[in-house]
Amino acid sequence: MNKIVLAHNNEKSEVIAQVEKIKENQVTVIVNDIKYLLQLNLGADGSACAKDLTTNTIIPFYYLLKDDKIELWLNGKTYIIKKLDTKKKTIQNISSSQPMTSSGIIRAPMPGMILKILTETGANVKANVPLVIMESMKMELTITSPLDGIVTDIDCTIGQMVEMQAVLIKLEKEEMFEKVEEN
Amino acid sequence: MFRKVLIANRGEIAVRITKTLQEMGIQAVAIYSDIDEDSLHVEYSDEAYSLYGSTSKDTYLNIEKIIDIAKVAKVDAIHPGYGFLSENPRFAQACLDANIVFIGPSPSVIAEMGDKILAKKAMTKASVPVVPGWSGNISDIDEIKNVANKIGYPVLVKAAAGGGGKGMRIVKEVAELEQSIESAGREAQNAFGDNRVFIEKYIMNPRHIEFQIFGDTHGNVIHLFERECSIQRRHQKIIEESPSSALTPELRKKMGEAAVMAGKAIGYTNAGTVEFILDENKNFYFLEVNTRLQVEHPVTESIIHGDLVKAQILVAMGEKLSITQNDVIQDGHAIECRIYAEDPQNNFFPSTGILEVYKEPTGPGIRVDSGVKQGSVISVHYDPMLAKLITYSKTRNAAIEKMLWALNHYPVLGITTNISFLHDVINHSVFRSGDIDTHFLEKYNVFDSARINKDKELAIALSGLICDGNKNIASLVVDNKQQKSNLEPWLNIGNWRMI
Repeated sequence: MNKIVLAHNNEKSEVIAQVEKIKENQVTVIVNDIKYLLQLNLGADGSACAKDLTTNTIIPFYYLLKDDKIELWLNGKTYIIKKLDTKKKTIQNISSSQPMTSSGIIRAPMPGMILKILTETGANVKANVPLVIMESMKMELTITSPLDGIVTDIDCTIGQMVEMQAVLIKLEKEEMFEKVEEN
Repeated sequence: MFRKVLIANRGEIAVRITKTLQEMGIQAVAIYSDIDEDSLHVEYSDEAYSLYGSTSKDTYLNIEKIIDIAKVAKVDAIHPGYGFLSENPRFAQACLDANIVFIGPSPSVIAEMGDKILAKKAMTKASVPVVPGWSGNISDIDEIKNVANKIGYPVLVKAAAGGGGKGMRIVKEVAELEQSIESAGREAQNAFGDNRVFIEKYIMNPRHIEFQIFGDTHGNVIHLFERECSIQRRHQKIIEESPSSALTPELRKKMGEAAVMAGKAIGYTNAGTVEFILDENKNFYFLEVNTRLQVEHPVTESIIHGDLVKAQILVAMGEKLSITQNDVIQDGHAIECRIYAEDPQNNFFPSTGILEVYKEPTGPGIRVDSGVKQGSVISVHYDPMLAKLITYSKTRNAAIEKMLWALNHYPVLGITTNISFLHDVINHSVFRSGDIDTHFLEKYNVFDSARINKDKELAIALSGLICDGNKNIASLVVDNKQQKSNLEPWLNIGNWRMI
């Protein structure tokens, strides 16, 4: 029996989907104590239609299989569901969204182009000081320092196109630095 | 009669203009950047020319290149769409200099209305109500203080060349005045290369009501009723409708007459929009004139049963308006939602990628003006607006119900859109009541968590089914995309159980 993990921000709860084939195109799925008897028709273009044979409800939906993810469009909402490798299903391995900054690593919160870099390697920066200005789809975004620290690395250049979550700048916390010096 | 028209734009508006041109038997000429080579507006066109470049400056904002192409293609006229060069008087002039008709007002009207100080002066002269305020030499701080005291705080500092909230400051008290004027001027200088600012009374909880006007080259100006665009986010309209639930027939008549008066005073030709703000006591004030076709023009087309692009082309060919004010009837109710490639759960940051699944809703009273199709690549280079969804029905309530249905039948996968967010806004009790103002989205948390949680199990079940091809029992992690910033429902789901 495998587990389904429902992950949301820092809240993660485990859920199981139990699938059993009755006959061709007919299956039962049990999720969170709810049992569905479903008949499924999948289209090649991402469209799909399920029929709940218990209630005769028609459930049109769209799906997209992408790497370890299923994107599902259902009743006007999008669900992103990740397949979990049951052999290494530790919660740490499945962090759903990487934080923008972790231990002073500043990442691009959106894909876009680097317009300006307002700091340099070795610079001492205070929290909330603007470090990078980027642009995406006519929207300008100023990325500020999350902490008081020292710029140890600049991983982007002006005019560069970056992907979402790309590392832009690395910072080291001031206290950490001081401690190193003390040692 | 035009034989061929070049569209100096891209995306949904280029597609929309192309359709009307072709319907009128006029050849549509597209231009495109390197990024747009395979885009829908090129596919729809009759002829297409490369602008050889990828930045806007090298392509859709490059007057010389566009005029050169227009000459090579031997077009009779250029339609600028909205954005890009549509309100650039130098572009309108360059068209005239090349003996090409510019589909829009004259360069001098564009220039005058583009300068907010000049526009306000022209309106004051024409007896159109304007927001009490002041403009003049900004170094004369004592005089500005006097004026601000007279009109009463808070006051608004605005840039003469302004737009999109840039170079704008709300000043709550006299102590902040001088610094706000300086910083607004600096911001305006950076954004528009023009540091002039002016002062206005700050109107609390205003509604944004604009009137579509239309002028011909024979001195006729009429209005085509209002659009209410109060649902905005960071000064960007996202939902527009007509009629406005704020206007009584008397007020509508008064504002319509003021809009026509404004148009006549400046000798307006072609399609334009007179924007007003309406305060809580139903006083209206002139805001600005947009000298182009607006994004939200389909709302007006729906309620007057007309084609504004067709009218623009006829007027540009020198024809007289075929109707008078009395012929224009506001019939039914239309709502428009702007579909953006952005993530409402992540600060509305743009979302890029491939539209792997994209299917537009169809049905009676449902219109989609779109610049994309399934498979289109959404890049970081342009505005995140993918399409506009417009519904039309007899009443506001019926148009709302139709909009909710249409939004629920607009699947998009591969990138994140604001579709579900728009659904929650439209379905919000305050929006339904019609008692809205431009601060609606700041005042109310519109995310509907009950709606989000309703299909959670079903979504997992369906995913389990899809995975079933590989394994008998699926193993999944669910990340409900619609829910990221709204934690509380998730705090109540402690009853997930291992079986």
